[in-house]
Amino acid sequence: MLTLLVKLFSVLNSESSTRQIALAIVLGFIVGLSPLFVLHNVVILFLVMFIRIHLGSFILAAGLFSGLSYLLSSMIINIGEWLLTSSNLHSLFTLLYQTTFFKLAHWHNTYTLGAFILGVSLSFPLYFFTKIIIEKYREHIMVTFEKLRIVKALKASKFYRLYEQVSGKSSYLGDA
Amino acid sequence: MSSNIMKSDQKSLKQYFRLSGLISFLILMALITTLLYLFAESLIKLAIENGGAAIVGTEVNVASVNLQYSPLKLTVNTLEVTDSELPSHNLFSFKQATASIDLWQYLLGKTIIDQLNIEQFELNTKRSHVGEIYVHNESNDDKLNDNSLLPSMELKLPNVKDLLNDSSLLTIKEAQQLEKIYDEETKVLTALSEQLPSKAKLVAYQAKIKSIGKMKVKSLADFEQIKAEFEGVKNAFIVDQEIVNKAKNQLIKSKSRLTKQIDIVKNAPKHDWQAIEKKYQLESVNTEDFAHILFGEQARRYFQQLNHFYNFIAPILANSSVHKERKTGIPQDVSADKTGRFIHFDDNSPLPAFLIKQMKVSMVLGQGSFEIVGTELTHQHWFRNRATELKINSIDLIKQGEFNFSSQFDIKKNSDLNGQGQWFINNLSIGSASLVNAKALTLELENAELSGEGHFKINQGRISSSKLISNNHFVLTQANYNGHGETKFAKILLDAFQSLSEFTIDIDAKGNIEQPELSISSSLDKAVKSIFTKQIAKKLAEFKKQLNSGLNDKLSESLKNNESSASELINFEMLLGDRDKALEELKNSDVVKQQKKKLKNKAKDKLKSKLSDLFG
Repeated sequence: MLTLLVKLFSVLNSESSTRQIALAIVLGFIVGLSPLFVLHNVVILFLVMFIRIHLGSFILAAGLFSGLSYLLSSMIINIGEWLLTSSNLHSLFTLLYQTTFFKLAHWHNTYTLGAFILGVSLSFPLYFFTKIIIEKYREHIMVTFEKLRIVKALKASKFYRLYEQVSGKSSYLGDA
Repeated sequence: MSSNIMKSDQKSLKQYFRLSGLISFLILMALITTLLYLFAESLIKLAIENGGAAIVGTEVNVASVNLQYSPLKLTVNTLEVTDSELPSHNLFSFKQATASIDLWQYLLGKTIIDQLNIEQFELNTKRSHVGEIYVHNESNDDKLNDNSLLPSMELKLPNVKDLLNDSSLLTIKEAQQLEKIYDEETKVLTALSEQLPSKAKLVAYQAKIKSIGKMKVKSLADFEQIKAEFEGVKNAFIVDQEIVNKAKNQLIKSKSRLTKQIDIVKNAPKHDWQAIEKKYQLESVNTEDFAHILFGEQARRYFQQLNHFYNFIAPILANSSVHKERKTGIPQDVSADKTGRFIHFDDNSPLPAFLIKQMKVSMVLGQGSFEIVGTELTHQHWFRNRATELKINSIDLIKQGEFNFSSQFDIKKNSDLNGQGQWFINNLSIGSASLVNAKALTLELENAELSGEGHFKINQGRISSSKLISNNHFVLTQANYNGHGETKFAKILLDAFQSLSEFTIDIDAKGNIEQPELSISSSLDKAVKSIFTKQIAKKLAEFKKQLNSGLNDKLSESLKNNESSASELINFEMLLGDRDKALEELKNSDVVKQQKKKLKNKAKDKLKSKLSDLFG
């Protein structure tokens, strides 16, 4: 838990751009919501590694949101069920079902489709929300925090040494 | 210049993409594939053990798993599933199962197994170690009391005197009612009889008429006076006659009420006998369904077991109703299923979501070895338009018995299920089977030879309300029994069995598959009834004679007690007749006519004398 908290601060305080971190969190969100071994996760993983985004943020987000996915599983399945059994979308899904990619991606599975649609539809607001939050944090909270006596005291603590260690690794992972 | 632009472009590309990431991705994928290849068997083994344990709630063990990739073939060696009720034993186990799976279809979300072989499938085998139980199931078996249908009838007939003294007897009650009605009606009629014209009054009427007849008529005025006097008397007759008519109507009503009650009283002994028969279960001696008493519970249990099996497969079959759900567009509550489900749409090359093309299971049970062969095992038959066929054979069932079962079924796109099947058993040796284990009777079949055949049909109906028709015929020969009877009834039943070496049982089931109506008939019924009747018929006939005689005596007594009331009624009827007749005669008296005639004659005489005086 302590390490996770340190990683979070490390990411927020790193010199990576806010867009890179926000995009990483969004992609981690989509991967985290979906079942692990599905085709769209492989594609996202490819993008994550090929495009310069913050890898540490992606791994952190994927881990956090996979926990959320477990809590939201009923809702995710209901979304998938509603989409796949909707009479209005029946012809669209019948058309998509003829393609191998659709079936290989398991988008005819209620959980997979529900998670993917929920992830994609929330990705845009999540991207901008995350970006704003990180910017605000860096502008106001980080500076104010560093001025606090308690932070100064913490910097001299074991926690800070651990932070510095992880921060060093993180900067490597999140090399922008 | 151009090199600067190129460098700038490269820098720009590097700003957004990292080639090292592409290599890392490929390495990662290769690593995952390698790991999967190396640990696939272990992962599948773990998945079977953990997944199986999650489903059955007990420890599941797999010795090893072999995976062959081209073509994809999965072999599971020695699978053992712990029995939750007896953890030292397995619920079931098998030595080896091999499944040839279509990998491409599996990746597309369909499980198509070309060939499934299960060897040495066994039930209730001893485990090498006591298995763990993760979920304790509450046993909700309806342990039916096996003597619930066995009549607790003790053939001790009730005392006739006590029965006849019973005030709740209908004969007594209705006789009392008859007496009451007699009293009521007599009172009403007596009151009316007091209003009737008395004999003296009638004599006075007659005297008056007589005096009117004797009155002298000299003139028309005299005649008018006579007529007026007669009319006055006549009006009095009419008033009295109305009273008589009223009494006559009341008499008819009273007679009708009494006749009805007398009929009830006369039939009361018959109803009393029926009630006594029912109360003391005397009628059951002649109508008891012995086969149902003895075999009904067991037959019901067998059908309950079939029903449990049906309930197990019904949810799987119910998944075939995807098309129906899609039409409605109403999302199904699937919150219980944490992995979602696949929904398949119309396809150019359609295949069911789950299909075992060929299956062969060799099963070894304590009763013998079985070979189960199945083809086209699926819940979506409409895709390939082929029915599931299932055959079970055994040639060593309990040493030398032969068993054969074959069935075909298919599920339509609209969820209608059609199935049929037949079975036969031959030369099956049965030893030491408990038939009845009740308080009043224990009956054990020591040994017998069983043969039988039957068929069933499940036709045209939604999964939830499929109709079942099944006829099953069993023949038990060379049977020997042992047992103990507490009551007279049980002892007679036991004797009847011990004198029988052969009988047939027919069990038919029809109706809803979850709650079929069972009808059981047997040649045993006739045999037991015959023996039973012989033993108790005389005793029962004597009892019936005594009781009916007593009831008839009560009836006669009641009717005799009311004889005086009846004679009163007859007298009253006669009195009414007399009064009515007398009044009618008085009313119709021709006294006025006579006086009129007299007046006419006088007038004629007077005229004659005047004419003779005039003409000489």
